[in-house]
Amino acid sequence: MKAFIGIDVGSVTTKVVLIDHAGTVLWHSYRKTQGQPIRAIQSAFGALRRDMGDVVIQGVGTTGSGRKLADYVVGADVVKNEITAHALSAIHLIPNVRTIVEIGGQDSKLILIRNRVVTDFSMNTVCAAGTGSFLEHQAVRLGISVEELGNHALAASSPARVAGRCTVFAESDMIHKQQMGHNLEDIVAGLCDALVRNYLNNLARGKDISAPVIFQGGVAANPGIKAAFERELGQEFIVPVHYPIMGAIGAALIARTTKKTRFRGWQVAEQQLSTSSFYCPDCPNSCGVIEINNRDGVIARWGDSCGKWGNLGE
Amino acid sequence: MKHLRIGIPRGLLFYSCAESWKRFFQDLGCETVPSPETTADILKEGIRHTVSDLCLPVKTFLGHVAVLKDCVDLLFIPRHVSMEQESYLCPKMIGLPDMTRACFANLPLVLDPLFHVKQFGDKAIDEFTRPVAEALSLSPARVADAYREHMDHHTEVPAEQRRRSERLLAEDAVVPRSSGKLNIGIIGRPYLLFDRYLSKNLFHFSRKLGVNPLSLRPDESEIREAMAVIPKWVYWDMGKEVVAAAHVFFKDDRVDGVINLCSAACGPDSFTGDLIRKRLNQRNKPYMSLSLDEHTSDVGVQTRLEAFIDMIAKVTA
Repeated sequence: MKAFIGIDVGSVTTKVVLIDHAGTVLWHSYRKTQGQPIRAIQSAFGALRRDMGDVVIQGVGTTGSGRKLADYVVGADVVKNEITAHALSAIHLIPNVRTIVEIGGQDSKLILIRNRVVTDFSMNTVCAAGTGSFLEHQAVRLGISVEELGNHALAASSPARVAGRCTVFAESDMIHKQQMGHNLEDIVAGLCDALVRNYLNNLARGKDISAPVIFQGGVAANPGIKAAFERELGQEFIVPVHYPIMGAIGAALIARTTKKTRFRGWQVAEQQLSTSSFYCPDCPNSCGVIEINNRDGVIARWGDSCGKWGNLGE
Repeated sequence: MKHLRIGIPRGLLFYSCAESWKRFFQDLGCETVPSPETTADILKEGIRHTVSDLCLPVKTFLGHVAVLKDCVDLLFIPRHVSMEQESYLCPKMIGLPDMTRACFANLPLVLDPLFHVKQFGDKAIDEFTRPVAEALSLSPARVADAYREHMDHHTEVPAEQRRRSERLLAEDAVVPRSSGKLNIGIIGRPYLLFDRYLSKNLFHFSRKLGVNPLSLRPDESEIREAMAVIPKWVYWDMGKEVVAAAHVFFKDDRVDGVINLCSAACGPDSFTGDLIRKRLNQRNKPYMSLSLDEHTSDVGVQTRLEAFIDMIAKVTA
C-alpha cells in the first residue's frame, strides 16, 4: 500500500497523519510537543511504523512552527506554511468553504477563501489571549480539565462578563467574578465569550466571515467556544472530524505531487539526535544558532540571520 | 569655528534625511558620525533605557543614542514638527529630544533645532538654523545658506529632481511577467523598511523566496493623486508618503501584491493602514499588513510572507 505522511509540529502539540492518494486519513497521532519536538516526532513515527509499517511512503510534507526541524529529522519533500496547509485540507474536505477559523495552542488564524483560492488571511501576533494556551491556563486555575471547559460553558444560564483583551486582565476579572459569587458555569461561559471577542477583535476586524465556516485546530474541541462563535456571528461553525490534525492533513495533501521522496525511512524513529545551541559571537546581533547533531556530528544548523551557520548545514 | 564631531543616531528621520544632514554639516566644517546599523544589542540598549509603551522605532533610536553619546561632541536630534503647512509629524518624533534627555544622564550637548513650517512659514529655515549657528559659532546667514544648498527635501522640489535623487523604484526594477517571478510592492516608513534588523531582512527573504520586492518614495504628483482618492488629505507627514506608495502599487498592473510593514504601537500607521485597506485597494489586490514589535520572531514574518506568496500564486486552486 502507498501513502503520504503529513507532520504538523506546533508549539503545544505535534500531529502526524498518514493519508492515501485520495486524501483519506489512514492513521493519525496527536501528542504534546512538551518542548521536545524531535522526541515528539520520533515517538509518533515509532507508533506509525508499529501500526502501519508495511506501507510504502511516497511523500512527506511538514508544516507548523517546527516545520523546518521536522524536515531535518525525517527528510521532507514539501515544507509548507500553516496558512496554506490549513487551507488545503479545508478545501479538500468542503470544496466551497469560504472561511476557516483555526485556533491552536499558541496562535490563531483566520483564512478567507473564494473559489478554492485563499483571498485573505490574518494571524494573531504576539498575544496569546485568544488561543488554547489561554484556555488551558484558566482551566487549571479553575481546577477543571481543559476538556471539561466546553460542557461547563454550555450549562451556563447567564454568562459572566470577563475581559478578554489580555490574559492578565481576564484572570483578575475571573477572580473578581468568583468572589462576587458567580457560579463556575457562568464564569467558564464568560471565558469562552472573552476568547471569541478577542479573536474577532484581533483577526476579524473588517473581514467578511461568510458560510460555510470551518472551525479547526485544537480549540475546536471546545463546544463552548463553538457556541460562543455561533452566537456572536449568527452562523454555523462546522467542526470537521479531524479538526485537530487539519494542518498535518494539508501538509500530506501537498506531498502527493512528490515524484521521488526524500523520506529517510523508518529508522528516523530510532536515530540518535540531539540539539544544542550557542550565541554566535561574530557580530553584535548575537543570533541564537541551533544545531542538530547525530552520532557523526552536526547535520543541520539554523537561527542565524546572515546565513553563515545555516549554509554550513546545506 | 570649532571642528566638531556630530553624532547622528541611525533611526527615524535618519533614513529620510541622512545624506542632506551629512552634506549640510560637512559644508559647515563638521564631521558627522552616524551610529552603526541596528543590531540586537542596540535595540536591547534602547529598551533598557525607555518605558515599554514606546514604539519599536523610538526604542531603537534611543539605543543608537546610547551607542553614540560617549564618543561625539554633540548629538544632532532635530525637532521636526511640521514639514509642510498642513501636516504634522508623529508626537513621539516631535518629543524626541526631550525623551532623549529624560532617558540618559551624561549626554553631550543635544542640538535640537526646531523645524515647524506650520508655525513659522517662510521663516522656518531661519528658526531651524539659528541654534545650529549658535552651537557651531557660525553666522546665522552662513548656516541658512548651507541649509538652502543641501537640505532641499524640506521644500518643494521639482518632481524630476526628487525622482532622480530620492525615488527608490527605478522603472526597470519591475520584472516582466515572463520571468515567472512575482513583483511585490513593500510600503512602510523608511526607518522600518530600510533598517535591516527591524524589518527582519524582509527584502532579502523575499528574494530568497523567489519574488522581486519593490519599494518607492512617491513624488509630489503621486502624493497629490493619492490624496485625491481618499476622503481627506493625510495629516501625518510620513504616513502621506506610505499611502501614496500604496496607491502607486495598487494601480500598477505589473505589481502582484502589496505588503505594508508597520510597527505595532505606531499611532499614525493604525490610521493609514485602515485607509489603505479600505479606500485605496479598490481593485482588491492581494494586500497584507505586517506588524513588527520587539517580540516578533523571524519565523512569524517568514510564515506570513510565505503564506502571502502562496496566496498570490493561488497554490490551493
